Amino acid sequence: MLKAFSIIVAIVFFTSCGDSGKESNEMPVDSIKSSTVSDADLGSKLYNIPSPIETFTILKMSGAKFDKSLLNAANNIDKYVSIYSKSINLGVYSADLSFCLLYKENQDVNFYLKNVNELTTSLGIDGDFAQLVSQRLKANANNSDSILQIVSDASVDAYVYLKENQRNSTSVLITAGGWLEAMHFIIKMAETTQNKDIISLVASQRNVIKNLVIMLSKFESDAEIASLLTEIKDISAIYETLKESKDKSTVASIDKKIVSIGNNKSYEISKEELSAIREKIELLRNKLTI
Amino acid sequence: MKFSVRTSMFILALFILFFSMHTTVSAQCKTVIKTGIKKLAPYTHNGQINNVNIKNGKVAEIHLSFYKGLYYKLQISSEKSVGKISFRVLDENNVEVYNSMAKDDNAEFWNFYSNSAQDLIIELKPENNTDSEGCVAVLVGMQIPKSNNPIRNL
Repeated sequence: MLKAFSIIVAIVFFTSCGDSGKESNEMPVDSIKSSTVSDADLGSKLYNIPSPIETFTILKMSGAKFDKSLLNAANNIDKYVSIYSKSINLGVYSADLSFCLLYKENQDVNFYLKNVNELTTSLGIDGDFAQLVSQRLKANANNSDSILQIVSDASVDAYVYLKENQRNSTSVLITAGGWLEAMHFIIKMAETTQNKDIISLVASQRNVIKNLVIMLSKFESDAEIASLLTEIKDISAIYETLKESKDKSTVASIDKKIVSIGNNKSYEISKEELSAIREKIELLRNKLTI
Repeated sequence: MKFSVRTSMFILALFILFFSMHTTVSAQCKTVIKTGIKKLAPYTHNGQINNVNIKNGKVAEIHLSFYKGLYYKLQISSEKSVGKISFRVLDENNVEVYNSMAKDDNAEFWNFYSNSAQDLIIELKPENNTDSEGCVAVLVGMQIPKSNNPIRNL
């Protein structure tokens, strides 16, 4: 379980890093230039959000079942032509991939792994995912360690490669796409099942979306990112209306080695608020993926 | 503008030197990240790669969101050139919840249980060499509690 879980995490690193990418032959030069922001421009404060695999871990813990109808259709990939669209949907497909892997839906894993590989290559990200796909398809239960090593190494190499090329905006778009897809999953399941833990997971995105807004704001000179940011801010505005139930910070030991950290603060989310957020998430997802 | 052969050679040499240094820095950062991920065991890497370039002893901040109901491990990994890194963890109210210098820990990692969805700030600072510069990464590991449904139990 732990090994399989580690593999998933390594594969979907794209959805939780703030970095950059490389120019491929089909990319217009102007687009590359407009999305180039160096680390120096970003300052000494780094923001990040949980990866989809972290979100899906909580989702699975709550008892949620695999639901294939929630996945972005694998054949939608042909619709993604611009760098913006490819970056967002690399995040979306990476989230789909992590969901399939977590639930061990191996046939779907292959489809989404191929899509992740295709978009990665198309964006010029030098992570050697072609090798990864090849290894994954040949893999069996006995060689998961070597797959993990390949994937993990490819992920870190690609991440550093993106940073080197100072296209941090590409990375932020991948992160945003992954978050959007994870939101789509959890909010649909929250409404369908009325499971309190999943509803609580949706409410907990209040913290996450704040960081995402900050991450995207650094690139709002880019018109497409500015437009996306406006829509994310609309969703964030609904989150700001959620009622807080506790606010006192506490640090209490639960055993000698591990401390329990948290302020016991949670947010209540009404059916109306849940519905309003779901509506905006679905509109945005449809606009970006279909 | 025309350059002499000597000037051109000098510019070329500078370019090669810069390119080499850039490649070296990147290679070092890769190693820093991969080393940190390995040290997360038995926790599972959560997929985030958070790294900053620390210069001249300045404090860097990494703002991360955590979910309720998971055990987490924060692992610090850095280039030798920046020396020992101390780190503090602050909650949303800027209250310190961990300081690697506070006890005799001098630790490179910290484990905790997140009892609510929350944002934490990880402050990173070189302990000694204020002239240092280099890559520092914070890797996050996660672990599912052994109880059947920790969310309901909290």
